[in-house]
Amino acid sequence: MSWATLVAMTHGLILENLVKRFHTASRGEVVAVDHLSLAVKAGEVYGLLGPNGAGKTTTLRILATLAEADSGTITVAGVDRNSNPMGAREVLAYVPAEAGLPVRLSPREVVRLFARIQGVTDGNNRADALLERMGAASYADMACGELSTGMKRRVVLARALVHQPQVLLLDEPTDGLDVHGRREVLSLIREQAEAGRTVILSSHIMGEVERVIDRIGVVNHGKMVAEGTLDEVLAQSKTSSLDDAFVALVHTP
Amino acid sequence: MISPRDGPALLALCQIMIRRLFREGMVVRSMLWPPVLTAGTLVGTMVVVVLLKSPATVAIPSTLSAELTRELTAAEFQLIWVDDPAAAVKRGDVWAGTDGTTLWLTQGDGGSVSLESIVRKHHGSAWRPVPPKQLPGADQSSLAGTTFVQIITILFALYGVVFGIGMVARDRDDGTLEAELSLPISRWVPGAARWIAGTLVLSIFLGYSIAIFDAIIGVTNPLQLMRHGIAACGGSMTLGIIVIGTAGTKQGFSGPLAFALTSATALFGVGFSALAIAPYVPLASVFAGGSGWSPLGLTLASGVLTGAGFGWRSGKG
Repeated sequence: MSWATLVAMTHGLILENLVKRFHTASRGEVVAVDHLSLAVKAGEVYGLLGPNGAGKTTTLRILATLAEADSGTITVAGVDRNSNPMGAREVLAYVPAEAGLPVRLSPREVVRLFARIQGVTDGNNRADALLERMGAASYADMACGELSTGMKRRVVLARALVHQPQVLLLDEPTDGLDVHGRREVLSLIREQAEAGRTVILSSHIMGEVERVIDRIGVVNHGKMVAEGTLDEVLAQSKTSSLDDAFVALVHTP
Repeated sequence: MISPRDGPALLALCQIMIRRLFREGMVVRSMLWPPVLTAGTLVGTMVVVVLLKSPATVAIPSTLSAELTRELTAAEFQLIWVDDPAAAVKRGDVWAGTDGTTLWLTQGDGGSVSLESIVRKHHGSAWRPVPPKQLPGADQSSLAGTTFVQIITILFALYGVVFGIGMVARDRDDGTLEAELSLPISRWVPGAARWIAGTLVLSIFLGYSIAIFDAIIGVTNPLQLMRHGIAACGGSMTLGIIVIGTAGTKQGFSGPLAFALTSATALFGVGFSALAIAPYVPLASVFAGGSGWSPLGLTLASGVLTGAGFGWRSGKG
C-alpha cells in the first residue's frame, strides 16, 4: 500500500495546491484561492477561518463540485473529486450559508425529498428519525418559510445527514443564530465528528467555533496564513486568544 | 453525464416543484381567474343583452297600407310614424325604415331579413331569403371562443416566462438550487424538473380554460388549440429559464424578466408578420394556425435544450 493511498484512507478530505481565479470587469483577474492545501482526518472538525472575501466559500463550493478549480487536486473520502465529481457528491454533504429551504414545503417534505433522491433505503423513516434527532420534530410539518433561523439550521443539518455522508461541508453554519442557537448547532456538529465524519466548517467569527474545532486553517486572500491546533495557531501568532490571533494573522485592525 | 439516480430524481423534483407551485395561492389564483373572469363576463353580457333587448324599431310613413302595418306589428316590430323614413334611418333615429316598396337599413341581420321578407310577401314577391352557408364547426360563437382561448394562451405564455425566471432566480438566491446541485445527480436534472413542472401546471390550467370556453360558447378545434397552447407555455418556460440562466446573479431579476417578456411578445408578433414560418414556431404559432404538432415537437426539443443548457451553466459554477 502506497503512502498516498494510506493518507487518502485515513483522511476524509485532502486538498493540494488548489487555485481558483475570477475575472471581473472592475478588478481584472482576482485570485480567490491561491495554492491552498489542507488535509482533514475522519472524525475531525476543521475550521476554515478568514475574513469576508478570503476564499472560504469558494473553497467549499469547489469541494462540493459547485464550482471548478483552475488547478489542484482534491480527494473526498478516497474519491478523486476532479475525475469523479458524481462519486464525490455521493460521499459528501454541503450546507450553504443560505438555508436553501423552499418556503412552501415542510421540513419533513424537504428531508424526505433528499432521502428519496439519494436513494436512501427506508428514506421516509430515516428522515423522520433525523428530524427527531435534530430536535426539529415539533415543527416538521410547518412551512419552512415560518421557521426561525435556528430551526432552519437544524432542518438543513438533517437534510445534509440523511444519506450518512462521510464528509460534511458547512458554510457559515452559525451565521444569524443567537447564543443558544449557536451552541446547539455547534454541539450537533461536534456529534457528527464523534460519529466518524470529516467536518469542515467556514466562519469569520473566531470565538464561537473554537470550542468545537480540532484544527484551524486561517486563510486570507485565498492563501493559508496559519494552520494547526488552537494552541499551535496562538503560538504562531504570538497571541492569547483566537480573536487576537485572527487580527494579527490577517492584518486587520 | 447520466446517473442511475437521474430518472427517480427527475420524477421526485417534478412532483415537489408542482406541489410548490400549487401551494402558492397567487400562482393558482392568477391562472384560475382569467378564464373564470372572462367567461363570467361573457355569460353576464349575454344575459343582459337577452333581458334588455328592445324590439327593433321601424320608421314608416302615415301613408303605409294598413295591411302591411298590421303584418309588421304582428312580427313584433315597433313602428314609429315619420314623414320621411329614409331620412330617419340616415339620421340614426331608427334601425330600419320602409315606405312599403323600398327598405332602408343601417345593418343586415336576422331582423333585416325578416323585415325584407314581410315587405316582399306583401307585394307577392317569390323571393325567399337564403341564409349564408356556415363552415362546419365555424359558427360565430366558436370563432369568438377561439379568440378568447388565444388571448388566454398569450397570458399563460407570459406567466411561463415569469415562472421560468422565478423558479430559478428564487431558488438560486435562497440556496435551494445549490443544495440540489450538490446531490449525486446530473446537472441537467434540476433545470429539466423545473421546465417540466412549470409546463405541466400551465398546460393543466390552459386545458381547463379551453374546456370552460368550449362549454360556454364553443371553440373551434380545441385539441389543436391545446397543442399550440402547450407549445407556447413550454416555449416561454424555456425562454425564462435560459434568459435567467445566462444572465447570471449580477443582473438581478427585473432586467432578465423584461428581456424575456419582450422576446416572448416578439415571438407572438412573428405569428402575424412571418406567416411562412410562424406555424412551426412555439408562441408564434398561436395566431398562425396549423395543426400544432410542429411547435409542440419544437417545444419538447427546447425542454431538452433547457435541461442541457442548465447543466452546462451550472457546471461553470
